[in-house]
Amino acid sequence: MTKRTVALERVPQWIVPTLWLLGLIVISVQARADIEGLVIHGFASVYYTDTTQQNAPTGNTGFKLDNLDLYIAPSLTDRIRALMEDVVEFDDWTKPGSDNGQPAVDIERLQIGYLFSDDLTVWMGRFHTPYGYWNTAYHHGAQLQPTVMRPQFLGFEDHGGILPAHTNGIWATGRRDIGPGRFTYDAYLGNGSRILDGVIDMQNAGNADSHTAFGARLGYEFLGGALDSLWVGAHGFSEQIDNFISGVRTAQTDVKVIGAFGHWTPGDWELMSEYYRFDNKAHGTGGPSHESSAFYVEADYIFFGLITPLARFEQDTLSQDDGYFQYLLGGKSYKRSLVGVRYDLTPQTAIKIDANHTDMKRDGGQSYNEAHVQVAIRF
Amino acid sequence: MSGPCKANRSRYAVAGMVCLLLGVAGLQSTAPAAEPTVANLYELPFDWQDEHGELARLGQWQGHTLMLTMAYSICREVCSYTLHRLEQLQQSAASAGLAVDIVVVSYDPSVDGPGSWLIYRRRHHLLRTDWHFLTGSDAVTKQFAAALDFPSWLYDEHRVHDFKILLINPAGEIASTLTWANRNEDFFAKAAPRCRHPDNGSCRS
Repeated sequence: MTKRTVALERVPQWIVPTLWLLGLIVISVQARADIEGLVIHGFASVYYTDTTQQNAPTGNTGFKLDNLDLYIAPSLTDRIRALMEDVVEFDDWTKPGSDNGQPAVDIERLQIGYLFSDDLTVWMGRFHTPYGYWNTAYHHGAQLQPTVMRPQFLGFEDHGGILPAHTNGIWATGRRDIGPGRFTYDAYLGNGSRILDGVIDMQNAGNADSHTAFGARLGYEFLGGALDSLWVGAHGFSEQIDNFISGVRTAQTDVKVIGAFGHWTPGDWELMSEYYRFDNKAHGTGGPSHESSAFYVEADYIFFGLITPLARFEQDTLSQDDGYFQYLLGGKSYKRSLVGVRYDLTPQTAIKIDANHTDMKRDGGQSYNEAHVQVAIRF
Repeated sequence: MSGPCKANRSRYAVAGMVCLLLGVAGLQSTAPAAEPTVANLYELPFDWQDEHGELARLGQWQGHTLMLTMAYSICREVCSYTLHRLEQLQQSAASAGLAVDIVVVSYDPSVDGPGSWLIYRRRHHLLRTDWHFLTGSDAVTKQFAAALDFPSWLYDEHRVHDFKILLINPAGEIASTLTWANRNEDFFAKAAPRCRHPDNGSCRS
């Protein structure tokens, strides 16, 4: 071992990201002074949970730190785009009885793209997987989304989600005016995901399993007429996802998902829904398919641009014979009815209150009630 | 996960948070609110398209009192509140005997145009003929927003912006500005006492 290597090993590991962030901040402050250039924006949120759920991943009543989200989207040229979203968050989805609430810095999105035209932008990096509506409409900044939480089954990978919310790969997206509206499309491929101790891992550091994920979303957005602003579409993806427990592979599953979505804002109403159908099969066995499904419907109405009452119903019915859902922390069936209200205290600050009843008895879980109060800001 | 790994994650997080907070504080201190420097809005050379597809320039309202804001048609929270306040203020002006035109300029020409604004007006019951919804080119929109200090940023598909309404006098000068801090102020409250007599010609702009 050389002296140089020894010296580097003595440098505390936290120095590197600290210097990196500090560098970004210095650059951004200077850039802001020049008006043009790199500007950092972000989001932060905290909340209180009261729940009757016992001994469950998110089953603690109390005050919780949600996340601190740093968003950077520098203007490089008219054609080259970049987008980075770094989040300090507190992992509250852990196995029952284990330590929770550990803070972590996650690079949630890091994507660099080239704008060929409105018809086509190609991104490379880690992006939000284009399926449904929610996953590419609302990201990590809670201040913008109507509810405290995402629909449970659409949660991020480390928060009980059952879909790969992020993909590390390449993504082509675009839209074209056709007829009385706009055709939209997304197509992507990337590293296949895997499940590590109950959590989907999208393999940021390379494709260790050599499995490829690919998928697409096609949509049509009505412009004008009675259906103005209605966006409807279909989505699907396919990949082999292997499960690992403490580094040992315990299952290999061919995951196939198709579904549909819709989002509509007629006047002060907002209506949205997504549906996913899984047709999973143990890899290489020719065995039976395991069918599962998940969906939600949500409606809200905004009064005076300030007060938004809302209601949502969500349900997933997941096969416990499926090697994919068997091992996921969030892989249990549930039904949830939720009502809530959002109040915009200022344009930058939202207070959200919601309550839900969740029934997980189908797969031997509990039936419980839960309430949240969240304060979310942007800056 | 092993103990040392957890400790490292905590250090990363704490160090990151401290830096971010310092950074945010730094940004606040280095970014004072810009004051619009336009002397006469009615002389701005920008071309717009109104909700009927007609060419428009702010100069066509020369001699009128105007309330001006920026919004976009798929925006919900801030824009809805802004337009609601504009309705209230216009009613207040009418009570004071003042005729005030409303001009809403699009933040985002990629989603707005005559068609979308017409539908927006219908759905939000903004059908008065003295309301005008303008859309420009991307370059014109950026220049206009910068000149009048209507900052915004794009979070994916969300055009993030704040609440702001300008009161423009008949000479094209910015007579007053509403932001969130003084959002409940009434531009026309002082004018009201002069207008208790409906025949008082001084109430007309």
